[in-house]
Amino acid sequence: MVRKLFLYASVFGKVSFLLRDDFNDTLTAGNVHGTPATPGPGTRKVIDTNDRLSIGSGVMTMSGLMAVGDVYSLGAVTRAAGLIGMWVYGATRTIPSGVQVGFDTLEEATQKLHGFNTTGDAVSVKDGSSVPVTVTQAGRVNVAVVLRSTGAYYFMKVSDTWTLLWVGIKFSDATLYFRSLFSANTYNYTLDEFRLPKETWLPSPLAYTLFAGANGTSLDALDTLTAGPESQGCTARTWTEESGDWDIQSNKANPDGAGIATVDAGQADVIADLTVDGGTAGQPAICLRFTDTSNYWFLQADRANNQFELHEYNATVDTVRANAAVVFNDSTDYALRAICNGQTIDGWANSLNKISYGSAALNETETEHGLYADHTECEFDDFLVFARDIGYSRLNKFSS
Amino acid sequence: MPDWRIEVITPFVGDGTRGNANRPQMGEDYAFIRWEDITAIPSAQLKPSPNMNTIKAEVTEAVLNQIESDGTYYVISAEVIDAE
Repeated sequence: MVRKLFLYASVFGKVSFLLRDDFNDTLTAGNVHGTPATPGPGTRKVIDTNDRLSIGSGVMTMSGLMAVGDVYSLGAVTRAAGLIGMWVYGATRTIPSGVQVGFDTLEEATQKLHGFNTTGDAVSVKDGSSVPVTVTQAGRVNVAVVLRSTGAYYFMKVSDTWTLLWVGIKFSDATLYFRSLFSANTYNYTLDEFRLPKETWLPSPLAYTLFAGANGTSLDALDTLTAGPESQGCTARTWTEESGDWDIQSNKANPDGAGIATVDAGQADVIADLTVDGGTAGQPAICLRFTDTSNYWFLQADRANNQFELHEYNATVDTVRANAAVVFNDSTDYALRAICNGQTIDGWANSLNKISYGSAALNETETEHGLYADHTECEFDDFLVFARDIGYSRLNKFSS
Repeated sequence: MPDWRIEVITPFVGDGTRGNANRPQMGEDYAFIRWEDITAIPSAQLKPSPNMNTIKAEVTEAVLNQIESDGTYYVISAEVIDAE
């Protein structure tokens, strides 16, 4: 503990916490509830039906059969954009399934979780009942949830780099419990470093555009915004009409026919969101990793065929590489998301329907992303791009 | 009945042009939940000879039964999708 505190003080200056438990004391099972967190602040609330949860050697250890609803909590906090919850899954994680960490509206049950869950070495984002992303990683795993006004950003330290795994867009409840919840399993498991810094922080998008402006404004004349969804700083970047004629109509981007418009976001590995509406005749898409009008990827809402498709457009040869059956109604907004990670491109429609392709070699390092239209009825809104694993080292300030 | 995750060999159809993209024939013939190409043959070499590519797909049990009895396709593996 002394060495840890010296490190923080000497390298980063004083870091203050609203809640913090690094488990620096020693307590036998059955004697943890009601004790002060170490170094604190915080007081431990523990429900440990079978007396299996102990503290020692700098970690919290669960050993033996835990019961449904067993919980470790440091209590409630009030939601604020930028509030950071951090946890460490320990190196010992031998159970058949399920240790939740995160913020939830309930302390002793799962309701609206912003957090993570594990099955052995597999660590999954839990965005409410959704499990959008799973990463398998042995050893200690640092995870973090950064709250938004609505939703949360989900981070994990992957290969020693803080990586944005998911951007959640649901739940805005004010009161959230900072806690871990256990399932009925025989445990041989450790947790460490429950930390909630006083300092807030928000990840900066690479690009953010709401397409607000006077009707007829050319996209060529538009820059991306300098403030992100929670007003965090964001670099202005230039829109380029790669093909077709694009302008703003009713605060949405609209092409005169088939076309592509892009922004150089500076990163190839991104989380890219776009709201699309195909009207009654269009099949709109997110354009990804564009180099020229003959080479790029697009993630398409195929309204005519009710298909959600990842296309590779390679030297003008069009190939569908992944597909899901999704109903896209006429003249309806759909939120599309692409996550590009090396040669893997995953796609979601309305955060639910996932498709994936793992051999996306074309343009793997290209950094231009944007809008794809096949018809003038296509409309686009809310273009938001985050880097996947660049720019988040700030989280190191608060974690080991 | 549970849904199934299968790996299946299928021909590709399409000519790679807009509106007629290269794609698995199985996706044309049967209802599916989702599929992804796991052969990953470069676009320029589609369609190979013989025209056989492997995709991973999620289908209902009824569709799996139909595919297994369809000589156009060869199911390499099939596993039940556990409810999450």
